[in-house]
Amino acid sequence: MLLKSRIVLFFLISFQIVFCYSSPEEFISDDENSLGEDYYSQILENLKQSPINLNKASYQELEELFWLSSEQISILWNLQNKGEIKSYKQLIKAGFSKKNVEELKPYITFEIIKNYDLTLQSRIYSKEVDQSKNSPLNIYQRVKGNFNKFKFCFLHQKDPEEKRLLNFYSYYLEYYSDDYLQKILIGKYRLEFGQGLLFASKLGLSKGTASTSIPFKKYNSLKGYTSSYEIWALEGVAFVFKYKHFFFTPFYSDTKLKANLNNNKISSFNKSGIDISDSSGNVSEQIYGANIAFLRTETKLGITFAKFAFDKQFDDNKYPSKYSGLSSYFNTRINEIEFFGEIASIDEKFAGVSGIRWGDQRIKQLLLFRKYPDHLINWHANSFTSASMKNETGIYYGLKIIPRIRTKINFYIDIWKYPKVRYFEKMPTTGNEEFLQFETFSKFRKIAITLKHKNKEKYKTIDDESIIRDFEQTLLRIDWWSYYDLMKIKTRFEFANEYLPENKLFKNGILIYEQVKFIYKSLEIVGQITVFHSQILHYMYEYALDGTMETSVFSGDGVHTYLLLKYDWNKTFETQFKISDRWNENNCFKIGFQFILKL
Amino acid sequence: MNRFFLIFFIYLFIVNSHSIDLNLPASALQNATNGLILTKIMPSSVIQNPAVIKTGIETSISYLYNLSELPYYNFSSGFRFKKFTISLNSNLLNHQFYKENIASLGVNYQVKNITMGISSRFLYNSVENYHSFSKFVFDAGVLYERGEVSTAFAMKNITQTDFFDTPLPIFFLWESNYKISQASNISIGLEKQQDFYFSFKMATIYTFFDVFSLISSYQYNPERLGAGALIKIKNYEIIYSIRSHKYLSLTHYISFCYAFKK
Repeated sequence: MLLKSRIVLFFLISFQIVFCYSSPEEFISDDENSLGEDYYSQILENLKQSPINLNKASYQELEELFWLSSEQISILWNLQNKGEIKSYKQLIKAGFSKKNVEELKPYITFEIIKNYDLTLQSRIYSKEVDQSKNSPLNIYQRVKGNFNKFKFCFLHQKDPEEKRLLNFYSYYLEYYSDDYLQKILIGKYRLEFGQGLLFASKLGLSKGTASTSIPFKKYNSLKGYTSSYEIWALEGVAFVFKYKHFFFTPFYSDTKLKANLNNNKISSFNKSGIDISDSSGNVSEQIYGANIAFLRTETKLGITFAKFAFDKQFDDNKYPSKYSGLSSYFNTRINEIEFFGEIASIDEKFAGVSGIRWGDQRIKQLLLFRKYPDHLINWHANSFTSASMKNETGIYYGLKIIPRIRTKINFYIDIWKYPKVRYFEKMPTTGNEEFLQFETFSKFRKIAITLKHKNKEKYKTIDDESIIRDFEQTLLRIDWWSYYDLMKIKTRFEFANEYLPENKLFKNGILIYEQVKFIYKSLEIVGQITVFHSQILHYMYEYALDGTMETSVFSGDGVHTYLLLKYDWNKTFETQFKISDRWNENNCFKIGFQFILKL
Repeated sequence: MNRFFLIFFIYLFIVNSHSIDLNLPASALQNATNGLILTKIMPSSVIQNPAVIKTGIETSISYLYNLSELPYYNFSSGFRFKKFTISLNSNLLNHQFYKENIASLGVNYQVKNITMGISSRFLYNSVENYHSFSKFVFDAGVLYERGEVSTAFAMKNITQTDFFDTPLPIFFLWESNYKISQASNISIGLEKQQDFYFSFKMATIYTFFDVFSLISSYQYNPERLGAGALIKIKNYEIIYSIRSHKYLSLTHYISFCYAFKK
């Protein structure tokens, strides 16, 4: 009887995992390309470079494997609690399929942490720049290590045309332990809490292929800053204290930012990171505050308070130079229902996000509401939004259906309003976005059909008449993968259009590419050729050197190619090389080289 | 025979109250599903399709678009009478200067997997200091059920009646429902109003522990989202729902239902 129930349980778990599983790759190159969404490639790169140790990770750290379902996270957590995980076979025995484990491998480890390790990464990229007197080189170097209970990192980056090698740099020293004092971090760091109304990574994305996973954030972390996004890192000192299930995180930051000034008042911040004038930071920002959180495996409750002060006034007097923020958040799971939400008061303006996710192995749904007042201050925030997290109310609904084992349908719709005047639009406007993806796969091939439609009211001038008009954008994409022993071939056909119904103005474009990925032992080669003919913009994610994100934008007529080679010499030294070129009116030749040394 | 008189009496009572025909959602559930009815059949389902009904009594109230001056009341009931199911319904939109009302009497009959139904609606419209008018309109529908799939089709205003010299809307409604798992249903549907584009709809319902259900839906053209929660205690059901509008505020809806024992 006991054996029978175990067999039934095993099959139930296996069944569930087969249904619930999404691969990490679906978040990046394979599906997200032309939508301009490369955030997840950055997360996965970070995960690759600091894999999750399944024997040491807390439940919250396991949740960083964001493509896994809550049930799968629970399985990993239960395995860890039962004893040391020593091999991938244990995961398979617990219900993960071989394919699942293969895809997890780059992002997990169960090795006992070594007393020390050191990784050196050095990259140089050259881009064709017209009429430039400065160096066109992009140079990036990073040293990252671990010694006893200390972690450290130093990185610097020089963008093309910038003069100084240390134009952007980041550094931190971290002490960690399992005691009451869990962490001390000195240097540049980032904070992420709740749904991101007060603190979150600025690279966060609201919507994507995984329609029921991406909008639901489970943030609660303090981490050293390793991103090359050059603004909004905190710089100073932060601690994490732990008592039973309670965590206390006080933090202090005093950092310099690069801003455009008008009469010594801040008119905007330099978010691109490209600083041709090569100035050092000209605005100082001071932040101090604390977070208290109660964290259990499937329940989080937290409160964050922070005070912010810039040393200069803003050009727009609706943004104060000194303000405070208070937010409280939660997420919890009761059987098949998960609830989450955050409410914040920032400079006495209230903002909120709340949602619910429910379903089983065949169908998963998510409903999310958000409301942000006009001129909400969100310099360090990044919660779910259709645009800029200001002057917005909206409802999002995501649906994932698995009607058969090898078929998956993802759908979402987001409907929003901007109740106040926004940018040039001179009256309140509305918008909506729908996404539908049908995916079916077998051992040898996979097909995905994606349809995305967006309708936004925009203020446009046509024939000397300036009015609010409906502006529709539609994208149809068909992807086809063929798998061979050593090779994967992917073909894409994409058709996109923009349409102004009232004026019957229609623009369209097509993009087709063929991509070949070849892996033999330690050698990996990726080659791609793309042909485009378009009146509008197409976005495409490219395979790139590790740690970089490359989203190409295409318009007009032309051909684009690239070739990427990676070779791992002996598990300690890896070299990577990429060359790309484009033939159209905007020729763009790029060549890059990178080595990674792991000691 | 007593039951027949009771039904007839209720019908006369409803006809004498004020009434309408805007094809608005007739219950909190329909508000949550954007008008789809097969995800969960209720007494009010018959308003969308005369072939689809559950026996019981249901009453609902809403302030359309959260406007307190636009209260919208609904009452629906369904009774089994030998091989027939008879339905009585009333909807009232009660603005200070504008009143619209529908009172309807329907009947359906099941043969194996197929159910056919027809209903007559008495429409009443009144604009303060302008006009008041009434008319009878007829609807017809068919429902096919087999295993985990059911499909329904309805035509509203089959006699193409006009109303105060204006043609009344003719609606074609198609819907299919699939029981995707033990706990969940998904429906897709099309609604076509004559001289208007098709409207596509999709709705799902998911039930937890037999007592609590979450409902969500999407409508394309115009874009709308609906969501709701249902609590079931024995034969009683309470449903609360919301539905978005492109420009106006959310419509909140609440329904109470008592289902007759089979």
